[in-house]
Amino acid sequence: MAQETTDRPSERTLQGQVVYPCSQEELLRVIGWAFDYRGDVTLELASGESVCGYLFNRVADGGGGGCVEIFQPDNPTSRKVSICDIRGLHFTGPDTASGQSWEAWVQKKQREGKP
Amino acid sequence: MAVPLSQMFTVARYVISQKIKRVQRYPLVLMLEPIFRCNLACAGCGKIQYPDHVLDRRLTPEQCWAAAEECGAPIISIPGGEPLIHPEMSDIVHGLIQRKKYVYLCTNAILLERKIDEYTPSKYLTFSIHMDGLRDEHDLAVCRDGVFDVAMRAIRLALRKGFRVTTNTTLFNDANPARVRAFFDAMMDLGVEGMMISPGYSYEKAPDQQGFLTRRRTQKLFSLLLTNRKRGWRFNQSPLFLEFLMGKREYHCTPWGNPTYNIFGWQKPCYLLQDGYAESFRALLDETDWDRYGVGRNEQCKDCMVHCGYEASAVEDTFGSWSGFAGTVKATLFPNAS
Repeated sequence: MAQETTDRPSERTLQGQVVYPCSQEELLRVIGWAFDYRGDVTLELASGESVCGYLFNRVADGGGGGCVEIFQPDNPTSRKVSICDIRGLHFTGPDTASGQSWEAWVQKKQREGKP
Repeated sequence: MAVPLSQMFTVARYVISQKIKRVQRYPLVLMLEPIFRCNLACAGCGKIQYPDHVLDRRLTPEQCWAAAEECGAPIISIPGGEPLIHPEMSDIVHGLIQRKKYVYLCTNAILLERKIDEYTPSKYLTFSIHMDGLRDEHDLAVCRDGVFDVAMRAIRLALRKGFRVTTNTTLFNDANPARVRAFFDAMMDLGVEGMMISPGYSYEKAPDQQGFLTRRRTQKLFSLLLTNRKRGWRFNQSPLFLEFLMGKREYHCTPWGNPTYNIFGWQKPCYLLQDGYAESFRALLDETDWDRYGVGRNEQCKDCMVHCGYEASAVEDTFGSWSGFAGTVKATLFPNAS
Protein backbone atom coordinates (compact mmCIF):
# COMPACT_ATOMS: atom_id res chain seq x y z
CA MET A 1 0.00 0.00 0.00
CA ALA A 2 1.59 3.26 -1.08
CA GLN A 3 1.27 6.08 1.39
CA GLU A 4 1.69 9.71 0.54
CA THR A 5 1.33 11.25 3.96
CA THR A 6 4.12 10.82 6.49
CA ASP A 7 1.91 10.79 9.57
CA ARG A 8 3.40 7.96 11.56
CA PRO A 9 1.36 4.76 11.48
CA SER A 10 1.03 3.00 14.81
CA GLU A 11 4.00 0.85 15.87
CA ARG A 12 2.16 -2.31 15.04
CA THR A 13 1.12 -1.31 11.52
CA LEU A 14 4.36 -0.12 9.93
CA GLN A 15 4.87 -3.58 8.48
CA GLY A 16 3.88 -3.56 4.81
CA GLN A 17 3.83 0.22 4.47
CA VAL A 18 5.40 1.91 1.45
CA VAL A 19 6.34 5.56 1.81
CA TYR A 20 7.50 8.07 -0.78
CA PRO A 21 8.48 11.22 1.12
CA CYS A 22 7.69 14.53 -0.55
CA SER A 23 10.41 16.57 1.11
CA GLN A 24 13.77 16.22 2.80
CA GLU A 25 12.14 16.80 6.17
CA GLU A 26 9.66 13.98 5.54
CA LEU A 27 12.44 11.71 4.32
CA LEU A 28 14.38 12.20 7.55
CA ARG A 29 11.24 11.51 9.56
CA VAL A 30 10.54 8.26 7.73
CA ILE A 31 14.17 7.20 8.11
CA GLY A 32 13.64 7.71 11.83
CA TRP A 33 10.72 5.27 11.69
CA ALA A 34 12.88 2.78 9.80
CA PHE A 35 15.65 3.18 12.38
CA ASP A 36 13.18 2.31 15.14
CA TYR A 37 11.61 -0.53 13.16
CA ARG A 38 12.73 -4.04 14.18
CA GLY A 39 12.33 -5.62 10.76
CA ASP A 40 13.92 -5.40 7.33
CA VAL A 41 13.18 -2.46 5.07
CA THR A 42 13.76 -1.91 1.37
CA LEU A 43 15.21 1.36 0.17
CA GLU A 44 14.30 2.52 -3.33
CA LEU A 45 17.21 4.58 -4.67
CA ALA A 46 17.29 7.31 -7.29
CA SER A 47 19.39 5.00 -9.47
CA GLY A 48 16.53 2.51 -9.59
CA GLU A 49 18.37 0.08 -7.32
CA SER A 50 16.58 -1.52 -4.37
CA VAL A 51 18.53 -2.18 -1.17
CA CYS A 52 16.89 -4.57 1.30
CA GLY A 53 18.10 -5.17 4.84
CA TYR A 54 18.08 -4.07 8.45
CA LEU A 55 18.62 -0.33 8.84
CA PHE A 56 20.53 0.05 12.09
CA ASN A 57 22.05 3.51 11.96
CA ARG A 58 21.48 6.94 10.51
CA VAL A 59 24.06 9.67 10.56
CA ALA A 60 22.92 13.19 9.75
CA ASP A 61 25.53 15.67 8.64
CA GLY A 62 23.59 18.67 9.88
CA GLY A 63 22.99 19.98 6.37
CA GLY A 64 20.04 17.75 5.56
CA GLY A 65 22.33 15.04 4.17
CA GLY A 66 24.13 12.17 5.78
CA CYS A 67 23.75 8.43 5.37
CA VAL A 68 22.06 5.34 6.71
CA GLU A 69 23.79 2.05 7.48
CA ILE A 70 22.16 -1.21 6.60
CA PHE A 71 22.91 -4.91 7.11
CA GLN A 72 21.89 -6.90 4.04
CA PRO A 73 21.05 -10.58 4.60
CA ASP A 74 23.83 -11.97 2.39
CA ASN A 75 26.55 -9.46 3.17
CA PRO A 76 28.79 -9.79 6.25
CA THR A 77 29.62 -6.09 6.27
CA SER A 78 27.31 -3.13 6.49
CA ARG A 79 26.54 -0.84 3.56
CA LYS A 80 26.25 2.92 3.73
CA VAL A 81 23.60 4.65 1.61
CA SER A 82 23.45 8.41 1.18
CA ILE A 83 20.17 9.81 2.44
CA CYS A 84 19.89 12.06 -0.61
CA ASP A 85 19.79 8.93 -2.84
CA ILE A 86 16.68 7.50 -1.14
CA ARG A 87 13.38 7.99 -3.00
CA GLY A 88 11.12 5.47 -1.29
CA LEU A 89 11.08 3.24 1.75
CA HIS A 90 9.19 -0.04 2.12
CA PHE A 91 8.71 -1.74 5.48
CA THR A 92 9.06 -5.15 3.89
CA GLY A 93 10.13 -7.51 6.69
CA PRO A 94 8.03 -8.71 9.62
CA ASP A 95 8.13 -6.52 12.73
CA THR A 96 10.02 -8.77 15.16
CA ALA A 97 8.89 -6.59 18.08
CA SER A 98 5.21 -7.20 17.42
CA GLY A 99 4.79 -8.85 20.82
CA GLN A 100 3.42 -12.08 19.37
CA SER A 101 5.70 -14.37 21.38
CA TRP A 102 4.58 -12.74 24.62
CA GLU A 103 0.91 -12.96 23.66
CA ALA A 104 1.32 -16.65 22.84
CA TRP A 105 2.95 -17.25 26.22
CA VAL A 106 0.17 -15.43 28.11
CA GLN A 107 -2.46 -17.42 26.23
CA LYS A 108 -0.65 -20.65 27.09
CA LYS A 109 -0.55 -19.74 30.78
CA GLN A 110 -4.22 -18.77 30.68
CA ARG A 111 -5.11 -22.13 29.20
CA GLU A 112 -3.19 -23.74 32.09
CA GLY A 113 -5.16 -21.64 34.55
CA LYS A 114 -2.16 -19.62 35.72
CA PRO A 115 -2.00 -15.81 35.72
CA MET B 1 32.53 -10.07 51.16
CA ALA B 2 30.67 -9.92 47.86
CA VAL B 3 33.58 -8.79 45.68
CA PRO B 4 37.18 -10.04 46.04
CA LEU B 5 39.67 -7.54 47.41
CA SER B 6 41.79 -7.73 44.26
CA GLN B 7 38.82 -6.62 42.17
CA MET B 8 37.94 -3.82 44.57
CA PHE B 9 41.56 -2.67 44.53
CA THR B 10 41.72 -2.76 40.72
CA VAL B 11 38.55 -0.69 40.39
CA ALA B 12 39.62 1.77 43.09
CA ARG B 13 43.06 2.23 41.49
CA TYR B 14 41.47 2.72 38.07
CA VAL B 15 38.92 5.30 39.23
CA ILE B 16 41.48 7.23 41.27
CA SER B 17 43.88 7.28 38.31
CA GLN B 18 41.12 8.71 36.10
CA LYS B 19 40.48 11.40 38.67
CA ILE B 20 44.17 12.24 39.01
CA LYS B 21 44.32 12.57 35.21
CA ARG B 22 41.19 14.73 35.42
CA VAL B 23 39.33 12.57 32.91
CA GLN B 24 35.80 13.89 32.89
CA ARG B 25 34.10 10.88 31.30
CA TYR B 26 35.55 7.42 31.80
CA PRO B 27 34.06 3.94 31.44
CA LEU B 28 33.76 1.59 34.38
CA VAL B 29 32.09 -1.46 32.85
CA LEU B 30 32.12 -2.35 29.16
CA MET B 31 28.82 -3.93 28.15
CA LEU B 32 29.99 -6.29 25.43
CA GLU B 33 27.21 -7.84 23.35
CA PRO B 34 28.85 -10.31 20.94
CA ILE B 35 25.51 -11.85 19.89
CA PHE B 36 21.84 -10.92 20.07
CA ARG B 37 20.41 -14.38 19.51
CA CYS B 38 18.93 -15.93 22.62
CA ASN B 39 17.43 -19.28 23.53
CA LEU B 40 14.74 -17.53 25.58
CA ALA B 41 12.27 -14.76 24.77
CA CYS B 42 11.71 -13.07 28.13
CA ALA B 43 8.71 -10.82 28.60
CA GLY B 44 10.67 -7.79 29.77
CA CYS B 45 13.55 -8.00 27.28
CA GLY B 46 13.88 -5.60 24.37
CA LYS B 47 17.28 -6.81 23.20
CA ILE B 48 16.58 -9.68 20.86
CA GLN B 49 13.85 -8.51 18.50
CA TYR B 50 15.73 -8.54 15.19
CA PRO B 51 15.45 -10.34 11.84
CA ASP B 52 17.18 -13.71 11.66
CA HIS B 53 20.07 -12.50 9.52
CA VAL B 54 20.90 -9.94 12.25
CA LEU B 55 20.59 -12.53 15.01
CA ASP B 56 23.00 -14.74 13.05
CA ARG B 57 25.72 -12.08 13.16
CA ARG B 58 28.40 -12.22 15.84
CA LEU B 59 31.36 -10.23 16.98
CA THR B 60 34.64 -12.07 16.45
CA PRO B 61 37.01 -12.61 19.37
CA GLU B 62 39.38 -10.08 17.81
CA GLN B 63 36.63 -7.46 17.68
CA CYS B 64 35.79 -8.12 21.33
CA TRP B 65 39.40 -7.83 22.48
CA ALA B 66 39.91 -4.67 20.43
CA ALA B 67 36.82 -3.09 21.97
CA ALA B 68 38.04 -3.99 25.47
CA GLU B 69 41.45 -2.45 24.82
CA GLU B 70 40.04 0.65 23.15
CA CYS B 71 37.56 1.28 25.96
CA GLY B 72 39.94 0.49 28.83
CA ALA B 73 37.28 -0.32 31.43
CA PRO B 74 38.52 -2.72 34.13
CA ILE B 75 35.30 -4.74 34.15
CA ILE B 76 33.58 -6.36 31.18
CA SER B 77 30.02 -7.55 31.35
CA ILE B 78 28.93 -9.88 28.55
CA PRO B 79 25.16 -9.88 28.23
CA GLY B 80 23.25 -10.59 25.05
CA GLY B 81 21.35 -12.40 23.68
CA GLU B 82 22.67 -15.53 25.30
CA PRO B 83 26.48 -15.41 25.22
CA LEU B 84 26.91 -19.17 25.53
CA ILE B 85 25.30 -19.60 22.09
CA HIS B 86 28.36 -17.88 20.60
CA PRO B 87 30.64 -20.71 19.40
CA GLU B 88 33.80 -18.72 20.25
CA MET B 89 32.68 -17.41 23.62
CA SER B 90 35.31 -19.29 25.61
CA ASP B 91 38.02 -17.85 23.33
CA ILE B 92 36.61 -14.36 23.86
CA VAL B 93 36.59 -14.83 27.63
CA HIS B 94 40.10 -16.30 27.74
CA GLY B 95 41.44 -13.36 25.72
CA LEU B 96 39.80 -10.87 28.05
CA ILE B 97 41.20 -12.65 31.09
CA GLN B 98 44.67 -12.56 29.53
CA ARG B 99 44.20 -8.80 29.41
CA LYS B 100 43.41 -8.89 33.14
CA LYS B 101 39.83 -7.79 32.72
CA TYR B 102 37.25 -8.86 35.28
CA VAL B 103 34.62 -10.62 33.17
CA TYR B 104 30.98 -11.10 34.15
CA LEU B 105 29.52 -13.63 31.75
CA CYS B 106 25.75 -13.09 31.99
CA THR B 107 23.88 -16.24 31.10
CA ASN B 108 20.50 -17.84 31.58
CA ALA B 109 22.52 -21.01 32.31
CA ILE B 110 20.56 -23.24 29.95
CA LEU B 111 23.79 -24.19 28.16
CA LEU B 112 26.16 -23.85 31.11
CA GLU B 113 26.26 -27.51 32.14
CA ARG B 114 27.13 -28.47 28.56
CA LYS B 115 29.80 -25.78 28.09
CA ILE B 116 31.34 -25.31 31.50
CA ASP B 117 34.44 -27.40 30.76
CA GLU B 118 35.45 -24.86 28.11
CA TYR B 119 36.23 -22.47 30.99
CA THR B 120 38.76 -22.45 33.80
CA PRO B 121 38.04 -21.01 37.25
CA SER B 122 39.71 -17.64 37.72
CA LYS B 123 39.36 -14.61 39.94
CA TYR B 124 38.78 -12.72 36.68
CA LEU B 125 35.78 -14.79 35.60
CA THR B 126 32.31 -14.73 37.13
CA PHE B 127 29.26 -16.52 35.80
CA SER B 128 26.41 -14.08 36.41
CA ILE B 129 23.29 -16.19 36.28
CA HIS B 130 19.99 -14.65 35.30
CA MET B 131 17.53 -15.48 38.07
CA ASP B 132 14.39 -13.38 38.33
CA GLY B 133 13.04 -15.01 41.48
CA LEU B 134 11.95 -18.34 42.85
CA ARG B 135 10.72 -21.07 40.49
CA ASP B 136 7.26 -19.67 39.67
CA GLU B 137 8.41 -16.07 39.23
CA HIS B 138 11.51 -16.96 37.22
CA ASP B 139 9.83 -19.33 34.81
CA LEU B 140 7.04 -16.81 34.28
CA ALA B 141 9.54 -14.00 33.61
CA VAL B 142 11.51 -16.04 31.08
CA CYS B 143 8.35 -17.44 29.49
CA ARG B 144 9.42 -21.06 29.74
CA ASP B 145 8.73 -23.68 32.36
CA GLY B 146 11.67 -25.57 33.84
CA VAL B 147 14.38 -22.93 33.34
CA PHE B 148 14.69 -22.22 37.07
CA ASP B 149 15.57 -25.84 37.82
CA VAL B 150 18.13 -25.93 35.01
CA ALA B 151 19.75 -22.74 36.31
CA MET B 152 19.87 -24.06 39.87
CA ARG B 153 21.65 -27.23 38.68
CA ALA B 154 24.12 -25.15 36.68
CA ILE B 155 24.86 -22.86 39.63
CA ARG B 156 25.58 -25.83 41.88
CA LEU B 157 27.87 -27.34 39.24
CA ALA B 158 29.76 -24.07 38.68
CA LEU B 159 30.25 -23.59 42.41
CA ARG B 160 31.41 -27.17 42.80
CA LYS B 161 34.01 -26.61 40.09
CA GLY B 162 35.32 -23.53 41.87
CA PHE B 163 33.94 -20.74 39.68
CA ARG B 164 32.85 -17.38 40.94
CA VAL B 165 29.06 -17.25 40.60
CA THR B 166 26.66 -14.37 41.10
CA THR B 167 23.02 -13.94 40.24
CA ASN B 168 21.46 -11.05 38.36
CA THR B 169 17.83 -10.27 38.99
CA THR B 170 15.52 -7.87 37.22
CA LEU B 171 12.43 -6.85 39.13
CA PHE B 172 9.14 -5.67 37.66
CA ASN B 173 6.00 -4.17 39.12
CA ASP B 174 4.50 -7.53 40.03
CA ALA B 175 7.40 -8.34 42.39
CA ASN B 176 6.25 -9.65 45.76
CA PRO B 177 8.72 -8.35 48.38
CA ALA B 178 8.30 -11.35 50.69
CA ARG B 179 8.92 -13.77 47.82
CA VAL B 180 11.95 -11.79 46.63
CA ARG B 181 13.43 -11.81 50.13
CA ALA B 182 12.88 -15.58 50.23
CA PHE B 183 14.67 -15.73 46.88
CA PHE B 184 17.64 -13.84 48.38
CA ASP B 185 17.76 -16.44 51.16
CA ALA B 186 17.67 -19.27 48.63
CA MET B 187 20.50 -17.84 46.54
CA MET B 188 22.75 -17.21 49.54
CA ASP B 189 21.99 -20.72 50.86
CA LEU B 190 23.11 -22.01 47.48
CA GLY B 191 26.50 -20.38 48.07
CA VAL B 192 26.70 -17.71 45.37
CA GLU B 193 29.28 -14.98 45.88
CA GLY B 194 26.74 -12.19 45.67
CA MET B 195 23.55 -10.97 44.03
CA MET B 196 22.90 -8.16 41.59
CA ILE B 197 19.47 -6.60 41.48
CA SER B 198 17.97 -3.94 39.27
CA PRO B 199 14.57 -2.61 38.26
CA GLY B 200 13.60 -3.50 34.71
CA TYR B 201 14.00 -0.82 32.09
CA SER B 202 10.87 -0.08 30.08
CA TYR B 203 12.20 -1.22 26.72
CA GLU B 204 10.01 0.15 23.95
CA LYS B 205 10.43 -3.14 22.09
CA ALA B 206 9.78 -5.52 25.00
CA PRO B 207 6.77 -7.80 24.51
CA ASP B 208 5.21 -7.05 27.92
CA GLN B 209 4.69 -3.29 28.22
CA GLN B 210 2.56 -3.47 31.37
CA GLY B 211 5.16 -4.71 33.85
CA PHE B 212 7.63 -1.87 34.13
CA LEU B 213 8.19 0.07 37.32
CA THR B 214 7.87 3.83 37.68
CA ARG B 215 10.50 5.67 39.69
CA ARG B 216 8.41 6.01 42.84
CA ARG B 217 7.30 2.38 42.75
CA THR B 218 10.92 1.32 42.28
CA GLN B 219 11.96 3.18 45.41
CA LYS B 220 9.08 1.74 47.40
CA LEU B 221 9.78 -1.82 46.24
CA PHE B 222 13.51 -1.66 46.94
CA SER B 223 12.89 -0.08 50.35
CA LEU B 224 10.69 -3.04 51.22
CA LEU B 225 13.31 -5.45 49.91
CA LEU B 226 16.41 -3.94 51.45
CA THR B 227 15.23 -2.50 54.77
CA ASN B 228 16.13 -4.82 57.65
CA ARG B 229 18.15 -6.93 55.28
CA LYS B 230 19.58 -10.14 56.63
CA ARG B 231 23.25 -10.31 57.62
CA GLY B 232 23.94 -13.14 55.20
CA TRP B 233 22.76 -11.31 52.10
CA ARG B 234 25.60 -10.14 49.89
CA PHE B 235 25.12 -7.86 46.95
CA ASN B 236 27.69 -7.61 44.18
CA GLN B 237 27.00 -3.90 43.77
CA SER B 238 27.91 -0.53 45.16
CA PRO B 239 26.15 -0.04 48.52
CA LEU B 240 25.41 3.54 47.47
CA PHE B 241 23.61 2.26 44.37
CA LEU B 242 21.39 0.16 46.62
CA GLU B 243 20.64 3.26 48.71
CA PHE B 244 19.79 5.06 45.47
CA LEU B 245 17.32 2.33 44.58
CA MET B 246 15.74 2.74 48.01
CA GLY B 247 15.28 6.47 47.42
CA LYS B 248 17.88 7.46 50.02
CA ARG B 249 20.17 9.12 47.49
CA GLU B 250 19.72 11.12 44.31
CA TYR B 251 22.10 10.64 41.41
CA HIS B 252 22.34 11.83 37.86
CA CYS B 253 22.78 9.14 35.25
CA THR B 254 26.31 8.34 34.06
CA PRO B 255 25.57 6.75 30.67
CA TRP B 256 29.24 6.70 29.56
CA GLY B 257 30.07 4.65 32.68
CA ASN B 258 28.78 1.45 31.04
CA PRO B 259 29.39 1.89 27.31
CA THR B 260 27.94 -0.74 25.01
CA TYR B 261 29.62 -2.38 22.04
CA ASN B 262 27.85 -4.82 19.73
CA ILE B 263 27.55 -5.83 16.07
CA PHE B 264 26.26 -2.36 15.19
CA GLY B 265 29.16 -0.47 16.82
CA TRP B 266 29.37 1.69 19.96
CA GLN B 267 25.79 2.34 21.05
CA LYS B 268 24.61 5.91 21.74
CA PRO B 269 24.02 6.89 24.47
CA CYS B 270 23.83 3.83 26.73
CA TYR B 271 23.08 0.15 27.12
CA LEU B 272 19.33 0.72 27.10
CA LEU B 273 18.63 3.48 24.60
CA GLN B 274 19.49 3.14 20.92
CA ASP B 275 19.96 6.54 19.36
CA GLY B 276 22.57 5.44 16.85
CA TYR B 277 26.07 4.01 16.71
CA ALA B 278 29.59 5.39 16.67
CA GLU B 279 32.52 3.76 14.92
CA SER B 280 34.92 4.09 17.85
CA PHE B 281 34.78 4.58 21.60
CA ARG B 282 36.40 7.99 21.20
CA ALA B 283 33.73 8.94 18.65
CA LEU B 284 31.05 7.77 21.08
CA LEU B 285 32.40 10.08 23.77
CA ASP B 286 32.90 13.01 21.40
CA GLU B 287 29.81 12.75 19.18
CA THR B 288 27.12 11.95 21.73
CA ASP B 289 25.12 14.93 22.95
CA TRP B 290 25.11 13.74 26.58
CA ASP B 291 23.02 16.69 27.74
CA ARG B 292 20.02 15.23 25.89
CA TYR B 293 19.78 12.30 28.29
CA GLY B 294 18.80 11.74 31.89
CA VAL B 295 15.82 12.36 34.12
CA GLY B 296 14.13 15.64 33.24
CA ARG B 297 15.87 15.80 29.87
CA ASN B 298 14.56 12.80 28.00
CA GLU B 299 11.16 11.14 28.25
CA GLN B 300 12.72 7.70 27.78
CA CYS B 301 14.89 8.23 30.86
CA LYS B 302 12.22 9.39 33.27
CA ASP B 303 11.66 6.11 35.12
CA CYS B 304 15.07 4.57 34.58
CA MET B 305 17.02 3.60 37.72
CA VAL B 306 18.97 0.80 36.12
CA HIS B 307 22.47 -0.14 37.25
CA CYS B 308 24.05 0.55 33.85
CA GLY B 309 23.25 4.24 34.31
CA TYR B 310 23.58 4.70 38.05
CA GLU B 311 26.08 2.18 39.39
CA ALA B 312 28.87 4.26 37.87
CA SER B 313 27.33 7.36 39.48
CA ALA B 314 27.47 5.63 42.85
CA VAL B 315 31.10 4.59 42.34
CA GLU B 316 31.95 8.13 41.25
CA ASP B 317 30.34 9.37 44.46
CA THR B 318 32.40 6.93 46.53
CA PHE B 319 35.70 8.14 45.11
CA GLY B 320 34.69 11.71 44.33
CA SER B 321 33.98 13.03 47.80
CA TRP B 322 34.78 12.29 51.43
CA SER B 323 31.07 12.16 52.19
CA GLY B 324 30.58 9.59 49.45
CA PHE B 325 33.48 7.52 50.72
CA ALA B 326 32.22 7.72 54.29
CA GLY B 327 28.73 6.83 53.10
CA THR B 328 30.11 3.76 51.33
CA VAL B 329 31.98 2.61 54.42
CA LYS B 330 28.90 3.15 56.56
CA ALA B 331 26.55 1.41 54.13
CA THR B 332 28.97 -1.52 53.86
CA LEU B 333 29.43 -2.00 57.60
CA PHE B 334 25.93 -1.04 58.71
CA PRO B 335 23.55 -1.68 55.82
CA ASN B 336 20.49 -1.38 58.03
CA ALA B 337 21.41 1.99 59.53
CA SER B 338 18.82 4.56 58.51
